[in-house]
Amino acid sequence: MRQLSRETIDQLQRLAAVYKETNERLMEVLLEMQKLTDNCFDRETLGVVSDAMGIPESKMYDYITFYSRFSTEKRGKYIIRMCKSAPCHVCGAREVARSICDYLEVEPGDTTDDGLFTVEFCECIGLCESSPSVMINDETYSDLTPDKIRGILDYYRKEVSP
Amino acid sequence: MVTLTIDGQSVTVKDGTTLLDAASAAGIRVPTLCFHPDQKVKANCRICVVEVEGMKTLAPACSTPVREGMEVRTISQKVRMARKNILELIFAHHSKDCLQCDKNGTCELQAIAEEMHFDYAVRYPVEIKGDGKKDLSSPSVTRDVSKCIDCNRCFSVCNDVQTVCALSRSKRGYQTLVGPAFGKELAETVCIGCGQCVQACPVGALTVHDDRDEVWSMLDSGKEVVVQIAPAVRVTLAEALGEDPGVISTGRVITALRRLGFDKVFDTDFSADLTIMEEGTEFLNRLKNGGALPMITSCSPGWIKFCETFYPECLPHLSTCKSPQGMFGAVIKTYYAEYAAKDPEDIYSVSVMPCTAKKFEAKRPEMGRDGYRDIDAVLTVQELAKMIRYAGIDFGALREGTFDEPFGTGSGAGEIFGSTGGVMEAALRTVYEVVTGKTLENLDFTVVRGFDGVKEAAFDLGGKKVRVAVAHGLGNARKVMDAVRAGEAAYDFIEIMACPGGCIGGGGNPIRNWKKLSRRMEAVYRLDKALPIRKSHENPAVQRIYRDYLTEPNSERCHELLHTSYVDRSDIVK
Ligand code: SF4
Ligand code: SF4
Ligand code: SF4
Ligand code: FES
Ligand code: FES
Repeated sequence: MRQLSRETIDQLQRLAAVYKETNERLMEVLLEMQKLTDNCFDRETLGVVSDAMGIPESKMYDYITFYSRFSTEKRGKYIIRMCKSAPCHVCGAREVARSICDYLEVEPGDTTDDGLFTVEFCECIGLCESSPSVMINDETYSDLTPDKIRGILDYYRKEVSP
Repeated sequence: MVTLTIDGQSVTVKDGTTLLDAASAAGIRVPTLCFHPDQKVKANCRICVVEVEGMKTLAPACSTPVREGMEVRTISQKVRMARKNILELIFAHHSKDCLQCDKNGTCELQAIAEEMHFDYAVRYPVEIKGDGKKDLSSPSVTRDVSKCIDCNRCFSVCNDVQTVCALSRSKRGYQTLVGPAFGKELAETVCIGCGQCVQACPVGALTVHDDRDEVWSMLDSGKEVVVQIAPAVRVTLAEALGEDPGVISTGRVITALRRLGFDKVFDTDFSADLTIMEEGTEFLNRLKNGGALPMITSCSPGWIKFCETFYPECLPHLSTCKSPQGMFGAVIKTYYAEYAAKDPEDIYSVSVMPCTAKKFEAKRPEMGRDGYRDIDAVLTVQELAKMIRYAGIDFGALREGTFDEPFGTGSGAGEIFGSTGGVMEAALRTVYEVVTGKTLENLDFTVVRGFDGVKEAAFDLGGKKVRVAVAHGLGNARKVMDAVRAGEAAYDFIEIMACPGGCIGGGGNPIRNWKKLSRRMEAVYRLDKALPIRKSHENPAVQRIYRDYLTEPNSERCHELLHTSYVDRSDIVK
């Protein structure tokens, strides 16, 4: 099993303290935490978090596995979330999704071998007027075509994470 | 009041009643699965759907409140088609191996399938959960995820009632899975083995960890097989064999056990009385010598594990007394072995308990000496009932037997151990007389009886005021313990039982609800009332063992045999 570094544990505990004080914005705090831990809450991470938050592990696990933005398995540095709701679908989302998967040589749900990208489907992300749309971590990209998305992926590969 | 029509019958019920209860008032039973009379409504299985005139979709009866003038049909074509479809969806994820299932014959799903004449093919792809292996890791509870129908009844009792939170849910929709987080085995979780989830589960997904086979094989082994039966067993065994809740069957249980081949049948009431002698003395010593107060009872091994896991800093408050099962176990392999001139090696000691956590207790390293176990096997009421059925014994027709010596007598005080408040009442009867030297006029401490979650009272013990509390169900225990931990608990003596209702509500009993529990509780106090001896210190068998073997309560030998120690298990939470 992976071992969290002392520094990561400290950071997690600091974030947990923020939540514990207010009992608010659990979702935001957890999303923030997830960035520190390979985009996932594995057993070790959830153990640290539930202990620090004073919430039983079983309840945290219930919460984490309910929302698709969280994962209990290690994911890539960038999570590509491809909208598959109706408006995007009729505007060519399927072609965009195919081209993402082909270009990265993965199937939806998988992580690339270099650990850079995880490709997932999601429901509407609220950008229907300029569909098809995807999210890459916190950034959104709209009016996509197969060509355009390949350019964006190249940008992530080279520029953001050389 | 609201008047509505159900299947052509007019029925008037209170505002806020559900269609399920209204139908029941009209003499109609609507099938249910996720519904449990003691739990909040979950409405996730949908087997209870009914047709309501004017509503576009079918309504779940368990969660739909009545309205004036409603026209409800509970068994129309539309309803039957929907239920059939729902049943198919359930069976698409359910391993239908009823023949090899612990719940064969008592399963709620099986009963519904039978009523609905399930003889057709499932039209959905069949995908059974899990890897086909049962989780046998817990000595108390067995989990078979391939049977789970995601009703959430176990989740509700473990989280809301017991506040143990060993069970979680994952994902949603078809991928939903109810069970420990990260697919852990039960033994890797904070589960304390109370078996309340077994009581809640409508199907064979959570069942008592079954030890029948081992006991059967020992009955033919040539060893002397002795058995003790707990106080609650005599009020729940008949029920497990189809009689009414609250039927007392002490004498018949004894005869049945002899017929099964047990060589000696002993009464755990005896060691309950022993517990009172030890615990009462310990309490008085703590009062006198400034020991850790409040002192908390230790008869409920589920509660002990809960305290070890969630309140390790409070362990000094726990009485060091073993449970009556544990005390008897030690006495059988020492005092009784001497009495019967047997090598402890040649005695196989079984106990019949209402409790699944007792199976765990018997396996604790503290419960044994010189390389042998004090208790070799623990059977629950459910398992014993099955053995009696297997042996073809007509339980209703049995003659009344009597317990074997040298532990033939138990007192009414031991008897009431089975109910919440019973240990406290039994202790008060003895402690009062020891402290004041006077005879108690009224033995009934009714303030500590009943089903209130936390009961409080204060008594005058010869000029000293003693404040007591009684909690049953671990959610209630948690409330009391938070106060103890914070140093704010104004009590001297606390009784805690892990199971709602006390041992009569134990996880190894026949499946119950609060209504049945109150019948069982009445029976417990009926038993107590009828006994000639109702105080532990007046039990002649108890007096004899102190005279011949233990010398006096809390003596060195008592400490060696009847007392125990606890471990901090909080690591598992971190
Ligand atoms: S859980 Fe019920 S329906 Fe399922 S296999 Fe067991 S007895 Fe049969
Ligand atoms: S035995 Fe008790 S603690 Fe364990 S899972 Fe069941 S309800 Fe929870
Ligand atoms: S284990 Fe039993 S009680 Fe729990 S969700 Fe599954 S079927 Fe329901
Ligand atoms: S449907 Fe894709 S963003 Fe709304
Ligand atoms: S019993 Fe009504 S929805 Fe399950």
